[in-house]
Amino acid sequence: MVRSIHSLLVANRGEIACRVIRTCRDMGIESVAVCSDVDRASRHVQMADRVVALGGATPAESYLRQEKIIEAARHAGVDAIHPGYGFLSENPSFAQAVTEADLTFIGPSAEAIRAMGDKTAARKRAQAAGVPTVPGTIEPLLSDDEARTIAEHIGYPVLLKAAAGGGGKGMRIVNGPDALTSALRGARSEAKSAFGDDRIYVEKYVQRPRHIEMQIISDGHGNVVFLGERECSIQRRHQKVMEETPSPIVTADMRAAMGEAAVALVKSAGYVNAGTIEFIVDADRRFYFLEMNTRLQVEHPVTEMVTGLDLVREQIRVAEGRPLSFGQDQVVRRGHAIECRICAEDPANNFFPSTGRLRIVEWPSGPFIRVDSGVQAGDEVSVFYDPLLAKVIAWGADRSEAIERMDRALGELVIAGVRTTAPFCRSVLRDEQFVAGEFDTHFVADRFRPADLDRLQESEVLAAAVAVALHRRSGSGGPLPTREITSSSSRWGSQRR
Amino acid sequence: MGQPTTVTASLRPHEYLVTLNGVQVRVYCPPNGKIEVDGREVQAILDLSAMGNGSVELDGKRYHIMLDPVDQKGRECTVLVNGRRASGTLDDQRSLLRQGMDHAQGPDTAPLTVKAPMPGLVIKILVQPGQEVPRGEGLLILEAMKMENEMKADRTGVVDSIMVAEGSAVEMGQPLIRIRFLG
Repeated sequence: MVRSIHSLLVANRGEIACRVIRTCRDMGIESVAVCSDVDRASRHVQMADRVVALGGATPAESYLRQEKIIEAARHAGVDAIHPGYGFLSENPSFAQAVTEADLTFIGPSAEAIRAMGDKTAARKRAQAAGVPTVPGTIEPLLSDDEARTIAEHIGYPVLLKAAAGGGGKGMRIVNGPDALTSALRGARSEAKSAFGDDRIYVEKYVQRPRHIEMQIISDGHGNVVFLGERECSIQRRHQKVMEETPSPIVTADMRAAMGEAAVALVKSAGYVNAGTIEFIVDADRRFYFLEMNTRLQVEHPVTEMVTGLDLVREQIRVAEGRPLSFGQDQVVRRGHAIECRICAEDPANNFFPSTGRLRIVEWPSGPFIRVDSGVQAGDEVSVFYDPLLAKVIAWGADRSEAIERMDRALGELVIAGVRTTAPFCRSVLRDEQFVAGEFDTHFVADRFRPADLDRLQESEVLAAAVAVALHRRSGSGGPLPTREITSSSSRWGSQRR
Repeated sequence: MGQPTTVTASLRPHEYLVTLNGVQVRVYCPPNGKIEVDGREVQAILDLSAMGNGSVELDGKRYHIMLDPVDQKGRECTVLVNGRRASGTLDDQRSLLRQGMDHAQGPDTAPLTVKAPMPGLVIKILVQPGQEVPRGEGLLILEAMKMENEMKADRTGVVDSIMVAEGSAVEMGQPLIRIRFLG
């Protein structure tokens, strides 16, 4: 049964709220924004057709308040709620509450979120569906002896992980049997204090891992299609910062194998809507199921750029109960796309959050550049919310063209008021191992040297010194040198090394 | 010990000593005159928006510049050039004088000649040859631009020689006191 959506509330903020609102406009769907008190003048509120204020400043007082959001949806009389990513997007009780309020949730069912959201349950399901998982235990360890036996069986190094885990707490890499007992003790006590739960798993530690994920879209009519992988190994603080598709190491055969594994898993869970299966890939290009993200991903635009599909549009159509308008054979991938996350962080200071008022914001544009942003000049970047300001996406016929265009685009980007990850991203684009496609999740630790960010060429130091001096003199009333009729090289041309 | 180094960091009017990312550059920009960078004549044009965003053209080559007014506090300055950060200090005649001492220095143990940062009158000499002076100690008082300015020791050392007398008028750049540093 098709249940058409004419109006939609976006239960999010920032760039993803803006991005969803844009597709609503493309589809002729009325968009309703929600906002906290501090966001009343923000970009997503300005873009939406209507707005309902939630009050409060922190996420816990606003974007995480299920009952307030459902009340807002009722008040606005919308047909559906899109959760974006983060906040309530993977919360099964929210999905259930939305459905119970007789609204359409743009995402999977509460049952599917529960089935795939629990890591242990998801791993069991993956094994049952024949999807490779990292060798190790699925149930928590019963004893040190059991840990020893399993570690011998799967081979060192092994990774100890907290059952209740997250954020690296209760995690230990064990290189040999001698270190196992003390590592178990340490992991247990850390897990106990962090989660109140000292249950530990053991699994094979994948060395030099790459993080590669597979986008799928599933309708309620038994059709599940994979849209290709995304390479997400460039991470800082265990969080992605640059993504691309295709992965430099994924061949057509490997893509098909990963895609078929993802489809099998999605079908076994009865999962409907867009979703992402994350894999860890070892140095021999064997892939293992890691977890599923039951929502739209931050990095979904790279998939859109090479497939020509609008994933939010597909999400909405599937949620309306329509069958997919294309099958696996109709998915055509063309060229290469890269995304850089522009976050308010200081890459020279361990990517520490950088807060302040945005005084200048100039986004790049031009051929094959897409910018999904959620901020504008004058906005205050606070510690309340995610530091993601915008995503810059570049498309090229091949990887090197996409890299060149991204470098050009980031050269046009100007943000004053906070430090951003943009200079870091440019340094990655120029790293020879990145350019060669040879990297893993340790890239930032292995290759990134913060001191290189501000390493200027001699001519750049001179130019900066002249600028500072002329600026000071103009400030003290002195005249600036005036421009006669001159021809000059491009403002941006000197930026490439 | 190295040879006594002659340091020429005294500044003319409209001349600035800019230290960015540890590199010193002297920029001379007289009104309606030729701009000099480290004594070399250059063509330079600065085009900035009110927000401090724009470009500088140096000898025909353009560089993207962002000079956020918020980042320029007193001597401190920060500028983004082609997206990369350069930060440090900017001194003119007056601020250099306030610093109390010539900023250009040789290696840490090389003797240093304190020079007059601008024309003036030596009011008082505060030290004697052979005297050990801790960092920050006043060396002499120079009256210039109608202000009395105490020149201070930049580092701990020993007064090697005094080249001027109290009451004498000095030219900009004239050597005043030479200090040996304890290596």
